[in-house]
Amino acid sequence: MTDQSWSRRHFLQGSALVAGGALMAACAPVAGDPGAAAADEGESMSEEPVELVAQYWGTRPEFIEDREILAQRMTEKFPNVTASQNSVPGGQYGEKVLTAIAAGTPPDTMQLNHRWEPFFRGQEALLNVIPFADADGEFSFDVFYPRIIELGTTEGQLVTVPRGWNPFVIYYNRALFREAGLDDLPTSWENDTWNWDSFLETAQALTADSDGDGRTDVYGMFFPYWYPFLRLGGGDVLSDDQQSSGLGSPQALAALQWLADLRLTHGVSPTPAEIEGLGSAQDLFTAGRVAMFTAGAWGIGALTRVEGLDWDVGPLPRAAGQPPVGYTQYYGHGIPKGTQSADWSWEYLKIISDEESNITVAQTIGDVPAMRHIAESEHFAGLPKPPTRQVFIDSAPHMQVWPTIAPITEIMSRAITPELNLAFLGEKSVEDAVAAAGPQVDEILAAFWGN
Amino acid sequence: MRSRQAQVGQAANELAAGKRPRMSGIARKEAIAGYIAISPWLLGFLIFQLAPILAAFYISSTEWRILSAPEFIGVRNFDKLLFKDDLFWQSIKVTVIYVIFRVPVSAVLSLALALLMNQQLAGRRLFRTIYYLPAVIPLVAVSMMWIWIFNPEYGVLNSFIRLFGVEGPQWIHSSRWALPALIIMSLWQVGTGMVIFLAGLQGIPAHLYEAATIDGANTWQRFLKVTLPMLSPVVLFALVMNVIGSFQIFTQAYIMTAGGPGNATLFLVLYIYRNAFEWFHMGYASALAWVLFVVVLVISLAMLRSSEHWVHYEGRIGGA
Repeated sequence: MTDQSWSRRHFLQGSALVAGGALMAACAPVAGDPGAAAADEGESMSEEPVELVAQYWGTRPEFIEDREILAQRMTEKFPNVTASQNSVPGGQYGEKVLTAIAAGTPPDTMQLNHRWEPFFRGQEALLNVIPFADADGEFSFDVFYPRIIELGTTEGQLVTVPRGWNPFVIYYNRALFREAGLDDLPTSWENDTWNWDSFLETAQALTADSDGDGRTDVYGMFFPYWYPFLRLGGGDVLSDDQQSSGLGSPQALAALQWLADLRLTHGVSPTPAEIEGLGSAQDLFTAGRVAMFTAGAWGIGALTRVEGLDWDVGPLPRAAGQPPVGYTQYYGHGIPKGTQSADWSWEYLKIISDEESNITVAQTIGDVPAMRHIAESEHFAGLPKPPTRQVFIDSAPHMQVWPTIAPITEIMSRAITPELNLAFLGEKSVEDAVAAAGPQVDEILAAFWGN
Repeated sequence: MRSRQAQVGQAANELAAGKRPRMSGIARKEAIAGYIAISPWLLGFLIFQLAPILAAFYISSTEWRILSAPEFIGVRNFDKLLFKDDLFWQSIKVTVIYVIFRVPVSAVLSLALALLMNQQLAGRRLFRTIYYLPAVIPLVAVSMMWIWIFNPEYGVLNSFIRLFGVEGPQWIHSSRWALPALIIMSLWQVGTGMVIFLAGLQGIPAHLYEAATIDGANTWQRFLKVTLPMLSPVVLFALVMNVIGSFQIFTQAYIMTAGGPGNATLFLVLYIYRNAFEWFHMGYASALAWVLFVVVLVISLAMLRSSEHWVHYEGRIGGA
């Protein structure tokens, strides 16, 4: 055991750490060609063999099967095209796609949502799809919910062709409502009797210590997401001009305080420790431990499979003096810059977002299709469970989305979430948490805007 | 041709005169063969370790978001992390506290276990296996298990504490207890150190103990005067490895606490990971990685340097 062997061993240990980040250096930082072919350049589509890859996240069997079918349909339509999917686990999506683009081998289409659209758009890595649509006689954006297109368009550019959307609603256990002597939730988003006061009263009526051991057995509600309530209360994480934190506004502070009170003062919502011990929101709900919870339309699929569970959905409750907010996360697909042929990418994209594909979204995946006439047809609205599916669709006029500014993930996970978590645990007041988060948000925004 | 002995003699003379010995043809061939033999490792090291380390050093002087070309910004990343980034100092604080508590406690426990397992006990092999088992279980699985153990409502730890009529802490759901919880959890893997110490213990010649016993040394004196000095090279090895490994803690915090609550378990490697792969600030992440590298290097060198005073190598005189 000599000093020499020691330093080598140490050296290796230390180097393993930096190797991860540095491996990226091996790839030449070649950005997507900014002048990549757009449809209006009139690039001809040859009959030469072409291989296309669509990039997705998520590896559940039904996802893989859906994507397989889309690839097959592309090949059926264009026999010279070999189409395939590249599906990676959600957590690796960003680094995989970035590495592929940086290495000069971007996928031909890529999945986008509220998390990734701002990021890749901010990196100027995506093509504007509007020129492709304009040049295409078969395609029109008019079939989609206009609000999705409107919210997705920034400075005349649209980078995502939508496929599905996930309006947030209140899922509720009808059996527990009956036990507590409560009526079903209203179904109208405009109804202002379904507000934060009546929501709290409902949650309190549902919260119960059934066996009298001093511990709550049924919680009235569970909010895995605080952001929809912030918007419902008229607040947001950023100021209107997106130059600074918006959490210090009276509306934002009131909304966050109200949320914290649900757990800390009123005890109608479980603590993180209880949630961790009992499973996800859906597990708690299915087990009858939580009577109401908020989630996107993805809750439908899982809950429909639970036999004997009597459940339904209602709109998000309105805050006093605020308009209804239909908080939504939409997703779709875009074309990275630097693809081998943007025209072929566009053709693949059209199949990924077409009518047949929207029907799969409704029936197999369980989200609300982006095409309005499919969402309102027997393929989605007409399905039997839950009885009031119309609630999802009726949120459309009130649609609001996650902030679209490029560094939003950093703003949330670096500056805001750690502080708000302390507030929701009761370790810090909401004011102190917001005061601590504010300068960090401002700093990230200043760096982003180049101040 | 000169005799082999004469060659060796000349080489020794040249060495003594501070000259580099001239290689004979055979020695040169041997050297070449040696380099060829180690070339797979050498190439792997140069290409996959040294090159990325040097590249990371360059990247640390840039702002690089991967898709655009790296923009050279000099020492601005280091300036930011040293003087403007509270989270960097939070991550240093958390990591150093973890190392300070974890390393000595786990060293003492490993040594105690090794001494125990070195006794002629019935079922000793079985116990050794049991104690070592956690070291071979993937850390992700271990972390999932400890999430359950630490659960304040339903976990076995607080259920045990409740037996004494006391309510246990919120563990990983509290910014005060999350770091102590991860330190406690790390002791789960003392089996690794135990195996190393055990090997060291078994390498201590029995005649030293016999001699000490004849000279009238009791058990404690034998431990202090024979076992510890003879074991000191192994202790040095275990400590240095443990310090390096502790500075690199990542998985537990990534899985169990996500660095929280409120950055209470934001270890430096987790912070590097987030900067690199969540927020895609590759330049800044490389700068952070280099800081970690230098910190670990300096501490390791300091430990090695200090070892002259406390590590006893058999065959050397005067402990130097």
